[in-house]
Amino acid sequence: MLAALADDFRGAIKRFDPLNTTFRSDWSTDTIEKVRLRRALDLNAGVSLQSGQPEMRINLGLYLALQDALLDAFCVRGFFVSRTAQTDRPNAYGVLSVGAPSDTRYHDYSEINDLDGDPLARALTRAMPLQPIRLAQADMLLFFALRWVWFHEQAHWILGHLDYLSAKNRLAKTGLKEAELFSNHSEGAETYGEAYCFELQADALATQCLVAETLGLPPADISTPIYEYQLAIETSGTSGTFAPPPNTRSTRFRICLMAAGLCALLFELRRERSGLTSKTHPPPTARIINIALTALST
Amino acid sequence: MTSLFDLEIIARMVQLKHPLYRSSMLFPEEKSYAPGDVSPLAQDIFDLMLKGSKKAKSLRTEGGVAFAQYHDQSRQLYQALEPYARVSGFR
Repeated sequence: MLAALADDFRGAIKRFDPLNTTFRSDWSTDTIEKVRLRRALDLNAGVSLQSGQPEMRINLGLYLALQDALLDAFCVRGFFVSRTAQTDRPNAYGVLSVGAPSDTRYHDYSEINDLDGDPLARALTRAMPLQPIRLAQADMLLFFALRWVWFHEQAHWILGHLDYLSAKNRLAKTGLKEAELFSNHSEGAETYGEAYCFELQADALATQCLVAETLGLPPADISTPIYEYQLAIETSGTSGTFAPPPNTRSTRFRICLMAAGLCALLFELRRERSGLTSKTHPPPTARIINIALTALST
Repeated sequence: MTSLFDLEIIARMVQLKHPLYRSSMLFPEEKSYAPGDVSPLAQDIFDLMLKGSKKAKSLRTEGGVAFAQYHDQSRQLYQALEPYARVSGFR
C-alpha cells in the first residue's frame, strides 16, 4: 500500500510543468529538470547541486503530512468555508494516525516502517468521515500545496540562492532543505539574515507563480483538481458557502493562501520537533504575512 | 478572508509551539482569546485584503519580503544575489 501511495505521489508530481509556460517565455529562465521523489517518510523537500546541476528532492513524508493535516482539518465543520469556532472540531476523526497518538504526527511517518504486514493499511486505523465534497476540497488543496512546494524549490534555483552559497563555499552537500539547517555555515546574524531572506524571497516567488497560474486555470481543464471539485459540487448538489465555486477569483485566492500557508506551518512543525527552531528560517507568522501580501500584489 | 483563520485552525491542530507563533502578532495568545480573534496588525491586513490590493502594494519591500525589519538587510543581499539570479525583474 505504501508503494501505491508513492505511485499516487509520483503521478501527482508528474503532472507538473516545471514552470507555467507564460513564466518560462517571459523570464527565459532555466528550471530544475531533475526531480527525485524520495521514499523517506519524514516531511522534507530541498534543492542541491549535483555536479553543478540542480536537483530537487521531495519526500513521500511531505505528501503524507499534507494529506493527513488536510483531511483532519476538513473534519472541522466550517474549515475552508467560514470562520469557525475551534470547538466545532470533533477530536475523534483521525485519518492517518499511526498507532497511538504521537508527537511525530503531521511531520514524520517513519513509524510506518516498523509495522508488520501491510504497514500503511494498519496505519489507517479509523474510518474517514468526510463527505465527498469535503474530500474533493481536501484533494484540491493537496494538489496546490504540492504545487507551491514545487515552485518554492524552483525559486531557490531561479533566484540564484544555490549559486550564491556555492560561490561563497557555504552550500552544504545536501543543499538547501526546508526542514533542516540552511547551509554549512549557519552561524552569525549575517548568515541568518541571508537564510531569512532566501526563504521569504522563495516564498514570494512561489506564491506569485501559484496565484498567477491558479487564477488563470480554466474550470474545464480536467488536468487540475479544480475540475474535480466542480464536478463534486454538481454531483452533490451542494452550493453556496459550504462549497465555494472554484471559478471565482476569491475562492482561488483562498486556495493559494491556504496551500502556501499550510506548507509553511508544517515545515515549521518539522523543524520544531527536530529541535531546529533555530534562526535559520523566518518565523511562520512572517512567512504567512509575506505570502499574503505577495499574493495581494500579484 | 477565511484563509488565515483556517491556517490558525491548522496551527492549533498540529500543536505548533513556536514561541514567535504562539505569542505572535497574528494570533495572539491571550486570556480573552476567542477563536478567530486577531491582532490589530492582522486586522489591518484583512482590511487591506477586503479593500483591494492598492495599499498592500505599498507595503511590499524589495524581493517580495513584506516585513520592514528585513528591508535594509534584504536590499543589500538582493544586490549581491543579482549576478546569480536566473530571472530579472523579480524584486
